[in-house]
Amino acid sequence: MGQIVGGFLVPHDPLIFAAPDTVPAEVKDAVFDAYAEAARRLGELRADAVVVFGTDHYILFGPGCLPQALMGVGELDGPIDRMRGLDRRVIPHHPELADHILRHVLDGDFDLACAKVLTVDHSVAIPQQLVVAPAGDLPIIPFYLACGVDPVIPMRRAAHLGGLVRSAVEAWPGDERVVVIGSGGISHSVGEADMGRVNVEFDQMILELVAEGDVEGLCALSDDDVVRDGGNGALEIRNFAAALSAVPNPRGELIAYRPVPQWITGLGFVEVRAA
Amino acid sequence: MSQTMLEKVLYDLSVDRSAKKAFRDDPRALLAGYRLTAEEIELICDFDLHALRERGVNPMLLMGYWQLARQDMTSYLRRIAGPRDMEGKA
Repeated sequence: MGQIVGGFLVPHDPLIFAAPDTVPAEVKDAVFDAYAEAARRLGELRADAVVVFGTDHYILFGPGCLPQALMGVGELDGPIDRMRGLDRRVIPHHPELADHILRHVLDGDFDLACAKVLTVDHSVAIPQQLVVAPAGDLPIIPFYLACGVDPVIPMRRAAHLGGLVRSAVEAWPGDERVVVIGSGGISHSVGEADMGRVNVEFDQMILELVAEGDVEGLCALSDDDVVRDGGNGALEIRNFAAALSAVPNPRGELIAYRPVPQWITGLGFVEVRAA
Repeated sequence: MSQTMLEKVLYDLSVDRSAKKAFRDDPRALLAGYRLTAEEIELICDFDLHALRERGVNPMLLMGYWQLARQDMTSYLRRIAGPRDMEGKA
């Protein structure tokens, strides 16, 4: 059977590419070193495929169709929102395992949209290029959870999906080792008047929940409280809830945390170990 | 007033190259093709971020559409964080 052997939570802040020199070199180096450390640890896990939970930013999906959750099952490329340093490229995929996960999730009474081809955005492309590609250009299986456009997917629903991904992998007849990545956060306000506000206290609270693998604690947070304390962008901690739920007995180990107002985000990097 | 139609327009102006070009050439001609009130058309043409946000438009769409004004994110933040009386044509 397949196995979820671990996970990572990493940010996907586009300003690390769009405005790289607005922060001191020491900060920039620390952030890119954190991605490199996640890549190094991913390499040690000897994974065969990586599931990435990302967020649409009202680019991939428009008002004509807003999936609560979508999975890419076929050919992949991206990002659609390319930027200097983040070029658009073909991304390795794993269609057989992806198809198996899709059908397992649907059989689990979870309605999931699927994309038979998908051009991902930066929320998947940043971890793909900075963590997955350096670890051996492993195939990825992307999910998009509605985190940025109302109505967002309920946190508990995101966690439920993560659990279904885990059971799907465990029901896979092959012996693939699979790693999950929750992409996003932590505190940031996108496009609102308080854009640039980073809340270290909120970030530490989330990191403590993650360290304990406390998905229930994440689910207990109301969206109103998350937006008030962490900004509208922090709603994407539901990607953390999904990733944690996919890892057996998860425990988070902090790789790095940097609050970077110039990049409008509290940037947290965590390895999620399977106990 | 339709928040949904405002989001449809701003989504098109954020991602659709032909819509962007049409807007730059003749914004009112493009917007006449959407179901918008005269007031909504003026809000869009004026890049009135406060008024559009108050009508429920997603801020990520506002950021994408703001780039049509050939402005950067610093000016966006100055505008969205500033008082209403700073509003003016971009």
